[in-house]
Amino acid sequence: MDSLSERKKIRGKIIRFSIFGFFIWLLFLWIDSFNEAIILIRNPDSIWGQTWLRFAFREFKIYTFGILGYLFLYREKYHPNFRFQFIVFLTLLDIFCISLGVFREFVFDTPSLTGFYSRMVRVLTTPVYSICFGIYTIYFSYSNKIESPN
Amino acid sequence: MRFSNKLSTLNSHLTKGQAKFLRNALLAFLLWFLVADIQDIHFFLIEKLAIHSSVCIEWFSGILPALSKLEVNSVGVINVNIGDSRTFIQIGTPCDGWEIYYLCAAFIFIFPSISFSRKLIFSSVGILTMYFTNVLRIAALFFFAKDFPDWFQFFHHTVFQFIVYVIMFIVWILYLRGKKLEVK
Repeated sequence: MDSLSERKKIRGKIIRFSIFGFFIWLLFLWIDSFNEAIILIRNPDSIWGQTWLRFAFREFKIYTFGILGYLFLYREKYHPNFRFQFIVFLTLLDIFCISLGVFREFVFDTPSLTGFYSRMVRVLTTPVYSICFGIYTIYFSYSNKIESPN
Repeated sequence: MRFSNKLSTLNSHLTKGQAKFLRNALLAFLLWFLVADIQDIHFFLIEKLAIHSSVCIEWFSGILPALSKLEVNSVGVINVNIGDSRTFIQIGTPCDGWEIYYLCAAFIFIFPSISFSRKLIFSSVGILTMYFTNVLRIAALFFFAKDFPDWFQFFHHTVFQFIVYVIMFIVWILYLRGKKLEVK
C-alpha cells in the first residue's frame, strides 16, 4: 500500500484533479461573469428577465459542472459506484432545492428559508460540489483497498 | 444493472467509512441551516475583520482609516464602512467568510476514523489562514478602490475568491495526504 508506485499514482491523481479543479473554476468564473452581466441586471425588457429562463440557466450551470465532474471520474477510471453516487446525490440535492423553491413560492416563506435556499443554490451552481466529491472519491478509492464493502 | 436496481443496492455498495462520511455530511448540511444566520457570529466576524483590516491598511499606508459603526440594513445584512475622506469600502455579511470557514471545517470533520486532534489542528489552521487572507483581501480591495477602481470588481469577485478556495483545497489535501483509513 505504501509502495513508491502507489504513492506516485495517488500524487498523479491529486495533480490531475487539481488541474481539473482549476479549469472547472475558470469555467465557473466565465459563466458567472455572463450571469452578472446579463441575468442579475433583471432588465424587464430583456428575455433574461423571465423566471423560467433564469431557472433553466441555473440548472444548466448545475449539470454542466455535474457532467464535467462525472466525466472526470470516468476518465480517471474510478469505480463506477462513485460515478453513480455522484449523479444520485447531485440529483437529490437539486430536487430538494427545486422543492424548496416551489414550497417558498406557493406555501410560505421566511427570511431564514430564503437564506438557506439561496445558499444551497450558490453551492450547487459552483464547482464546490464536484470538487468536494472528487476529494471524497480519491480518498475512499484509496482507503477502500484496506476496507471492503459491507 | 438497471438504474432502479442499482439505486436499491446503493447502500450495500458503500463501505462503512463511506456511509459514515455521507451521514456526517448530511448532519453538517443540516447544522449549517441552524448556524448560518446567527447574527452574533456575523457581528463578531465583521467587527474583527474591520479592525484587523484597518490595522493592515495602516501598516501599508501609514494612515489609520476610519471605521463606521456596525449597522444592520433593511434586509438584515450587517455592514461596516472602512475608509478615509475620499474612499471607503463596505464590509457586509457575505464578506465575513462565515460560509467558507464552516465549509472548510465541516469537510474536515466529516471524514471518519481520522483523529480528532488532526481534525482540530487542520480546521483551525485552515480557518486562521483564510481569515488572514480575508484581512489582506479587504486591505487590498481598499487600495484597489482608492487607486485602481476599474480593477476593483475583478479582484473582488474573481481573483480573491479563487485564492481563498485554492487555500481551502490545499488545506484539505494536506489534511488527507498520506492518511490511511484506520479501521476501528
